[in-house]
Amino acid sequence: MRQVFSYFAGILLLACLLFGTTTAYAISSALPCDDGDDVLTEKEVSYTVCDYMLEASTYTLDDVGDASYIFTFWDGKPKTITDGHDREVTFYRPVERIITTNPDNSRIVIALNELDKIVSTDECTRGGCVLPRNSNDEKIALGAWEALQIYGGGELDDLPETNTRKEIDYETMALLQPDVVLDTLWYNRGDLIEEKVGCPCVDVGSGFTFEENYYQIQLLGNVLDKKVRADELEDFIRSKVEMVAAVTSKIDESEKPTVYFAPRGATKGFYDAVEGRDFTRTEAVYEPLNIAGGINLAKDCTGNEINVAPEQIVVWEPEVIFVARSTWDGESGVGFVKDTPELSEIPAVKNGRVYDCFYPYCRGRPVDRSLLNMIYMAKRLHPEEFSDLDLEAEGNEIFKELLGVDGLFSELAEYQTFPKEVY
Amino acid sequence: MVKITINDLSFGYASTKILENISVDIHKSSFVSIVGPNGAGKSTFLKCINKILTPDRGDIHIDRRNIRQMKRMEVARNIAYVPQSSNRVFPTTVFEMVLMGRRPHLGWFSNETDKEKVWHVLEEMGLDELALRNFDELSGGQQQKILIARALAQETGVILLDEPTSNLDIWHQLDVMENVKWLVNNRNVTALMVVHDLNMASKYSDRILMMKNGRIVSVGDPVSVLTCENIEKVYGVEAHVHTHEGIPYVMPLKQRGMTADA
Amino acid sequence: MLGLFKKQSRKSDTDSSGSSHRKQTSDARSDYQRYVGRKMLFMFVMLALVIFLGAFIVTVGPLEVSVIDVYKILFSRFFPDYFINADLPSQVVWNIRLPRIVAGIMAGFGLGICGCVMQSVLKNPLASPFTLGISSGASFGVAVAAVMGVGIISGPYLLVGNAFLFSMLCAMFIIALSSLKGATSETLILAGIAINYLFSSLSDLFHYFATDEQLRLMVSWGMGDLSAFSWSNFMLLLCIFVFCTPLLYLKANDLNIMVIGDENAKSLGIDANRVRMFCMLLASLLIATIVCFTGTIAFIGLVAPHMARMVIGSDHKYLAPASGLLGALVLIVADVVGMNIVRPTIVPTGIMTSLLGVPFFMYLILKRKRKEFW
Repeated sequence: MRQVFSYFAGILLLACLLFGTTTAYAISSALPCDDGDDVLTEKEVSYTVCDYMLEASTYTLDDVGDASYIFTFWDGKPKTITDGHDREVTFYRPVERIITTNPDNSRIVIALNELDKIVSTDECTRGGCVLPRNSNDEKIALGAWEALQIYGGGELDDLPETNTRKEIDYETMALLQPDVVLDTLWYNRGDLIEEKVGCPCVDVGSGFTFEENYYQIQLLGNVLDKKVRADELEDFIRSKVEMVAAVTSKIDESEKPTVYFAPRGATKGFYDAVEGRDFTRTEAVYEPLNIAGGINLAKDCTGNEINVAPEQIVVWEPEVIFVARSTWDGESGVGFVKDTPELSEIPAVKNGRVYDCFYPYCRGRPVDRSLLNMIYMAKRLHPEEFSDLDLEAEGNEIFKELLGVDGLFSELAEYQTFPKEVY
Repeated sequence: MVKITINDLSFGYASTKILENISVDIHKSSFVSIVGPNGAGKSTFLKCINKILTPDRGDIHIDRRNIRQMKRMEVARNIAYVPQSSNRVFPTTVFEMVLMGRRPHLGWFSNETDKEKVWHVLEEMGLDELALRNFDELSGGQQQKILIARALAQETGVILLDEPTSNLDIWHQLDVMENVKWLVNNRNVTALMVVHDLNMASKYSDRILMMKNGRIVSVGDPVSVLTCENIEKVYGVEAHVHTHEGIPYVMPLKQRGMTADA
Repeated sequence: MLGLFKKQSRKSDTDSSGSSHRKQTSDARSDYQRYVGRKMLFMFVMLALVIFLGAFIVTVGPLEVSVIDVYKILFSRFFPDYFINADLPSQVVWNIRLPRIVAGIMAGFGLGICGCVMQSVLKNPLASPFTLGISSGASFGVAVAAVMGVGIISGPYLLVGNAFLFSMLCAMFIIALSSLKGATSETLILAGIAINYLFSSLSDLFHYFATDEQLRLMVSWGMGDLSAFSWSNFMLLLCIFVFCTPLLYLKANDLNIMVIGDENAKSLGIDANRVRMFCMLLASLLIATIVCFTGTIAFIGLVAPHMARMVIGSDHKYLAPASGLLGALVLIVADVVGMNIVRPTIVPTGIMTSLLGVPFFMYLILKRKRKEFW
């Protein structure tokens, strides 16, 4: 029995030892140059500044600069925001170094003119989800790649990669000492990142309703102290939405065509057994389509991304079918839809109203593609009402606003030529 | 040393009766053989005594204690069981195999005394050289002896053996039987053995218990049980019984109909 | 006192095996002492290797921290007054590297010991900690959490909570089912396989409805990953670990007997069904806890016990801890290789474990002497 006892005692001792050490982990949670009460007063700041100028200070220039910033813009208090998971995230320093983990957040950071603060990002931002690449993964629209210069010079794919869709490299993240990590909603790992990387983490994502986009823009504007620019960006998107909605809202519901929207294309036919998606995959909620004056046939279905039976599509009798093209130079699904005997009796097929459209995803819900699809679909669905709307000019304007590059849409239309049909 | 009293024992799976109304007394330090055709319920009988199977009806007393009221571990301290064979998925050394016999007597630790007892048993039976060999590598005779050694290490008053000689050549059959006989004579062990070879049973047992269809047909010393009539009744075989040095030997002559398995 | 039979038995040995006899009794005993000594040595070497590798791995990573600094950081947690260190290395070593190693050791150990226990009580060399449908239950729990967002607890532990709940549900269901029918090892294995199919098809159903992101989440969870482990969930794992492993280990003697079959076990005083239930329950609890934090790393639970058995034999007093140590060793080695082999890309731990473990296992199978094991 003595041995059993000593075995237990050993285990317990080990447990206590580890327990004692795990309780305390801390991310830096104090304002710079603060006396410990979490409020920077004018006196504190002016003393630190004076001390620094007299070279009698223990603080670095960074500390003093941040302290002055916090005193001026944050009323001398830590900034607390609520993120997309209703987590309270507190910032004790202004954000100078950002890590993004998905292209949706990277895109908005770029749109807020803060690209030079990104210190590392994910494989898709570096790949073809913010700026285009062809199906061989080669960069296209080289001008745009060149125009977007990262911190210290270089193109987007020169940023270090700290996560993929499957793995995350916490150590390299911590090594880069970011002030904030912008993570997606999917993984629900905000707290984990905060503990491991030692900086605030904000969970926020995009969506297929413009309200979700506005929320994301405003939240990131708040995190990055770019409120003015965020408002400007939101107004821009609102103006585009209103421009289309102003016309379509006057159209009677009965005049609006019913639409089957196939956002995953039809490259492998009805159903792709591996990814579980292809022509029969549709979206129940796709606001750009509604605003463009189309009636989404799947709107009453439960769920967001759903699969339907091919027969269901026939029963729905869509007047228009939109099939997305997932790569800039990829093959079109239109041919499949038009040639498949199962679909030959559908009004859209009979009347030749099967169209390509922009792929609405790219490891997320890119707002630029939502806007492009809205305008493009409007021109497709109501050609007369929108005859004076110039897709090329609008497209270029959208990319200019979001990415700050000129003529990107025109360039892309050379690879993906279907938009030219509605010029 | 130990007396086993079995009173009105019945056992069955679902509707099939395996054992019916068995009542028998087994005297201490005697060598009892159980014989009978296949399917007579001989092995089931042993398993009931050892509490591996719980009888539907009837009681088994060991030294006036009902095994229904005894814990399994307590039964194991009183009765050892030597299985016909031991099929293992994973390899086991001979030493570990015999050490298992000490399990009913020890707590978590096999202390030195227990190991000493195992060594002692192994040496007694001349198996110590095999101690580190893998049980599966050994010949049938050696395996059987190791299983007996395990029962010996269990230090019980009763040993049940289920056809210990069935796979062995006659040399090893005699060897096993001599071993058991020695235990009964010198260690006051009560041995209960299921055996098919009537001549082995006759040569070594004090008493023979003849069973058919779950019932006892005849019980008593070899001379009174192994008669031509009993053999014909139980096995459906015409046999000649020849007595040599007071021990009856059976020589089967020919089948009588197809009643053997009925 | 047994002179007659001693002589005869000796003769029988000579006759049947043909080996030279008349070895002194003390030879057999000293052979046995050496055999036990070898086992102890192996255990000690394994333990030393795990500790040494853990201590080595904590110094490996993209951040250049000198070995001395790493240990300064570690000791500063215990004796904060004597060591002062910078924030960043401390953050990296303490909150990123160490939890990963601790998780690797605990998960590997738990998987190894549970695999060993399950193989023995089920008397089946193909049994693994996931035989009872634990992994498919956990995957299903994750699928429910990912697609529907429904779980017993919300927030960051939604996935973990669901994985645990459903894996335990699966295990409990099978254990309850088989306790009704007498809990033979065959019933348990068959019920486990059936449940595995049921829950994998349920998960597939959810895969079908999942969005792209949800699908990624499920797939990457299924690959097994140690990075999700952090100090905040360490206590839970530790408690279950400290509760389960000693209790399982106390059954070592009974496990030895379990492998010779239920009836034999019963004749030696062991209630086979009760022992089986007890061990399965504890092992399921431990595995479910490990699985919900690390995902399915199935390979270790299956193979670590076999590796240990090949080296150390099948006495569970040595085998169980040896399986655990081997499991821990394989897992942390696989993890550190996966983390560093194609930097900056990380190979998921579950994949790396199989990639590294299978060749090693194959080598052991080919190398072993004929009929020595199984």
